[in-house]
Parts: sequence; C-alpha cells; structure tokens
Amino acid sequence: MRGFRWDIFIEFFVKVLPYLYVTAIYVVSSVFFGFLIGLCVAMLRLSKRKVLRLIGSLYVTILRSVPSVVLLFIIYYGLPMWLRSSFGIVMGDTDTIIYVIVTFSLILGSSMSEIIRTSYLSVPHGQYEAAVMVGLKPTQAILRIVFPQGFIVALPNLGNIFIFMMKEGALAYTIGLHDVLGRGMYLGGLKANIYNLELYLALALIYWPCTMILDKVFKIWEKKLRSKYLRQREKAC
Amino acid sequence: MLDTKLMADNFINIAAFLPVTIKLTIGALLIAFPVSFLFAFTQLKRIPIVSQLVRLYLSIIRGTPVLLQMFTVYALIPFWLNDLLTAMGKDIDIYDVDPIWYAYFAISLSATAFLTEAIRSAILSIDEGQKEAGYMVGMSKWQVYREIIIPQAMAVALPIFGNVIVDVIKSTSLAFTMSVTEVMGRAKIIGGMTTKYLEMYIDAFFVYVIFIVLVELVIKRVEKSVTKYRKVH
Repeated sequence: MRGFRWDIFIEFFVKVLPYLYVTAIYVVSSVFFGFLIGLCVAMLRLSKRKVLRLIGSLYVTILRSVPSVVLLFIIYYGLPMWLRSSFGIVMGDTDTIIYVIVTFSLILGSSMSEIIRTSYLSVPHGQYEAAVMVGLKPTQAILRIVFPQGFIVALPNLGNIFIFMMKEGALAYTIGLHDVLGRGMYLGGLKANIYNLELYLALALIYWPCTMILDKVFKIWEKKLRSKYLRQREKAC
Repeated sequence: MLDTKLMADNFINIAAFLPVTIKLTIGALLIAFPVSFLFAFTQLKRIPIVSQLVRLYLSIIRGTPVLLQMFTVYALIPFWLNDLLTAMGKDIDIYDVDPIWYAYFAISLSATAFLTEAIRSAILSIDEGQKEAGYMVGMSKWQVYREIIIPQAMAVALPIFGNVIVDVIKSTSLAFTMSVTEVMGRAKIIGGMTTKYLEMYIDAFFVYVIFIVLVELVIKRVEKSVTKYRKVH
C-alpha cells in the first residue's frame, strides 16, 4: 500500500476550491427561485377554493416523491427538446447550470411551500387583524407584521434547505457540470484515478466546513432575531 | 416529440427492477437501525471518546454529499479490503463481490446519521418520571428501557422514521453510479439502447412517484394505529 500523498491532496484542494463559486451560484439561485415557487404553491394550498388546494398538494406530493437525480435527467434531456420544438431556442453546451437550477428550484419549491405555509400559520391571525385595525393596508400588514414573525419560525428550516441544496446539488456532476464535485472528479480523472483517497478527502474538506458554517450562521441569525423581537416586545409593554 | 408508445412498452421493463430498489432500501435500513441505536446510546450516556467519535461521524456525514460518500465507499473500501486480505494471506478476490454490498453500506451511512439523531431526541423526549416509576415498581435498568422508554420513544420517532425511509428509497436511485442496476440504472440502460433517454427517465419518474406515494400511505396507516394506542391511555 502506498503512502498518503499530502502534496497531491493540497494540489486537489487548491485547484477545486475556486469552483466553490459555481456551487454557490446554483445554491443561491435555486433557493431564490425555489422560494418564489414555494410562495405560489403555499398560496394555492391556503386558498379557499378546493381545486387550487388540490393542485397545490399534488405538486408537493409529486415533487417530494421524485429522486433529484431522476428529475435532473428529465430536465437535462427534456428542457432543450421542449425549448427547441416550442420556441425555437437552441441551448448551448455551457448552459448545464441552468438545468441544475431549474431542477432544484422545482424540488425546493415543494419543501419551501411547506415551510412558508407552516410559518405563516404559526403567526396568530389576530396579529394581522390588529395591524389592519390600526390602519395598515393588507399588504403592509402582511409584509411588516406577519412576515417578520413567520420568518423567525422559518429560519432553522431555511438553514437546512441551504445545506440540503449544497449537498444535493453535487448531483450536477452526473450531467457534467464543473462544480466542486464535478471539477474534483475531472481532476482525479486526469491523474487516472490513482489518487482517489487524496481527492475525496480534499472534496470532503471543502463541503464539510461550508455546511458547518451555514449551520452556524443560521443559528446565530435566529438567535439575534429572537432577542431583537423580545426586546421590542418588552419596549411595547 | 415524446415517443409515448415506447414509453408505455418499457414501463413494465423498468418497474420490474423495483424489487432491487426495495432490496437496497431494506438492506440499508437493516444496517442503519441497529447501528443508530448504538450510536444514540453513546450520545445519551456520553461515553468518553466514543461519543465524540460518533459526533464527528454525524457531522461529516451530514456535511458531505451522498454522491461523494458513495464514491468513497465504492473506490476505497474494496481497495483497502484487498490489501488487508493479501496481508493476511487469504486468497479471496474482493473484486468478485457483488457491488450491491457496497451500495447497502454507502446508502446506510446517511440513514444512520439521521436515525441516530431521531432516536436520541425521541428518547430524550420521554419524561424522567416514566423511568423513576419503572424503578419504583422494581424493574431493572434494562427492563425500564425495553418495556417503558423505547416503546414510547419509538412512537414519537415514527414520523421521522417515515421520512428517513422515503429518503433512503430516493437515495437508492444513486446506486447506478456503483454499477447496481435498480430502477434508475435500468432506465439508463434502456435509454442507452433505444437512445430515448427522456422517455425512459419519465418512466422511472412514474415508478418512483407511485411507489413512494404507496409507501407513504402505509407509513401513515402505521402512524395512525400507534396514535390510537396512545389515545387509550
């Protein structure tokens, strides 16, 4: 058995690290678009019309049940075909990241809708009514009174969504995107896969601290918001 | 456009590999359950060194992509085992082993991490008074856990178990990267033969969605029967 090659480990780490920005791009954009989809789905599920509620829960059920890799492959093969035949748009080879973002926006849409729905329901309706009573417009009441309170409830779950996305996004490698995992596998292949141990350790040491930092950031953010909220309440009383 | 006839013809061909997906799920859970019980107890009892090592394991597994875990298991474990076996002078060809064994192990890694957390918090959620009452009527420590704490904790953890089972089924779809042919792998193979990848993946999509919705219905049923038992008391 050969010894562990630290120089190659460091080489992999340094060469892969810059590709963290590709991972960051699809994490942030998937969470953003996932939030927008989630908002629409949550509105459907909270609607007074039964048909709309049914459509909303159907969306959540289906998207929760499909493995990410299956949806990713469907989007990867299906989206360019559909765009070409319906709109005449031809997708280039460099657009791989778009398929990743579309796939995960759809998947995150279902979990986001649940988070939005439960945190919206966690704010007592009286808060909204009181805000309207003192003269706020309905949209103002939602944005300034209901949203900030619901946001605190949603924060821990939102942190988990970011971590999930960072890890699950690594599937982008299967459609050839050069993100952290994709670039790493490419570089490993250039060395004929002899230094896989060094490579995998380098990749783990990129992903692991990132998820830990995300976890910590969201915990601190939640704590800060909670204490701020409590202070405001004390002042009001 | 979509070749719907080919899609309909091959649906059964792909669904026929559902037993492999189920086998992978059950195999991974059979490894994960006992291990996560042990891990949860090291956390609850705060056994020095062991509990820190388990915490490190949980953190690493939760912090790295499943795909990376699979590659690591698949590329490195046979390699190490081979070295170990030759060092021991045994003449076994490790590369003959069915890759499904590596898949069980790789999939169980993250299931273990999530189950450990679920079991730990479920046991913590049971009131101390229950334990004391058990000791009062003369039960041993082992009896208290077996007869009082664990059954109640299991009822609390059931919804999370359901989620973990669904997650495991979903992650078996990555076993094709370890050359195990399950539903996803089959779809990929037929896609390669017919060059109609999209149609085959849509078939796989339906197989997974139908199967997981059915599994969730069963889980809901079980949950209901357990809560019914709780209401009586």
